[in-house]
Amino acid sequence: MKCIIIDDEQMARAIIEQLCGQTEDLEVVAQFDNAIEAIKFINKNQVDVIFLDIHMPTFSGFDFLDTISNPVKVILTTSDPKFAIEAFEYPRIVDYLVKPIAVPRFLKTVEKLKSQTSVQAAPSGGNAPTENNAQGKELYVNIDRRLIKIAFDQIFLIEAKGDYILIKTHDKNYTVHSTLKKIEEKLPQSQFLKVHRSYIINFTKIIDIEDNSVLIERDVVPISRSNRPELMKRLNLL
Amino acid sequence: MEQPNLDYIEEIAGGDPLIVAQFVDIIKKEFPVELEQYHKLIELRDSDLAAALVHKLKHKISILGLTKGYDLAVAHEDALKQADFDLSPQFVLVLDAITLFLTPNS
Repeated sequence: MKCIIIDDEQMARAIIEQLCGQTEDLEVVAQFDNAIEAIKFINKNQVDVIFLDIHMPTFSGFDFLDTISNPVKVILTTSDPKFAIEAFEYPRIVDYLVKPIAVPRFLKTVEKLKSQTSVQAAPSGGNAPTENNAQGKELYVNIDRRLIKIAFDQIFLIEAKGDYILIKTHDKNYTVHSTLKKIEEKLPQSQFLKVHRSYIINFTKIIDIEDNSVLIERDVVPISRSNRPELMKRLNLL
Repeated sequence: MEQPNLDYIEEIAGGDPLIVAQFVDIIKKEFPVELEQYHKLIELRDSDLAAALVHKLKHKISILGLTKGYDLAVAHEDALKQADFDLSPQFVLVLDAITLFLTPNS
């Protein structure tokens, strides 16, 4: 995975570069002491992962996160543990490393990164179902006579609510008059899976799975016994 | 008074003395600049910028294994955000210990 490091402190960049060098999975392709230069770089070059310091003068790590649109994973690095909750409100954030970064903690982050990337990179191999009729990268929903576009990548959960469905995205939730069955037909099967009669999840957004529930963003979703085998099949399990 | 050490740097460097030396060189380059900025900001009573600088220094303090120094830096940074400079004399002692540690033949 190609990664870049953004930190205004040279020592911090050197430590992360050294840590990246201890794993075969990460290749540091560039380093920046400010976010603006990094934005220019990622607009022109392929980058898979960004190590991003939150505290930087003039343009903070959060400003940076609000600016970029590339589908790049971010690992936050900071001396301040108090931003952890805010940080995880950004779906692209894989982990939050508090400086000074210990070697075992860094390696854990790399494992987390690899598992997330491998889930996303395993669309329909093996016994996974073939793609359905979903086209494009988004769908339109009718809310108060307005057709609102929602990108598939933004959706992490869809919940049945009687005659309505609740579509949850990172930014906001949409209540739409429809059924899970109808929306399921519109979603790419490589990304979405019904895990319970009332829930469809974007399984690329899974944080962890415990027994019969899955943590996705901030929601804990039940997994029904009948749907669990399909979910497990789709995961890149070690 | 707690003394700086290279335990963390040696761990990160995997015990390679050349890498340890590279890290120490970076600290030797960055720290005096930040130290001078700190004294200037305290003199100017610029609490916001001083807090941001202490935040930055905090990392180096922790890298050098100064756990009590780190706790003091956290408290000093928080106090500075409230325009409270009271912890500065104590914090200067931590910075002095680092300066001495980085000075050749000390």
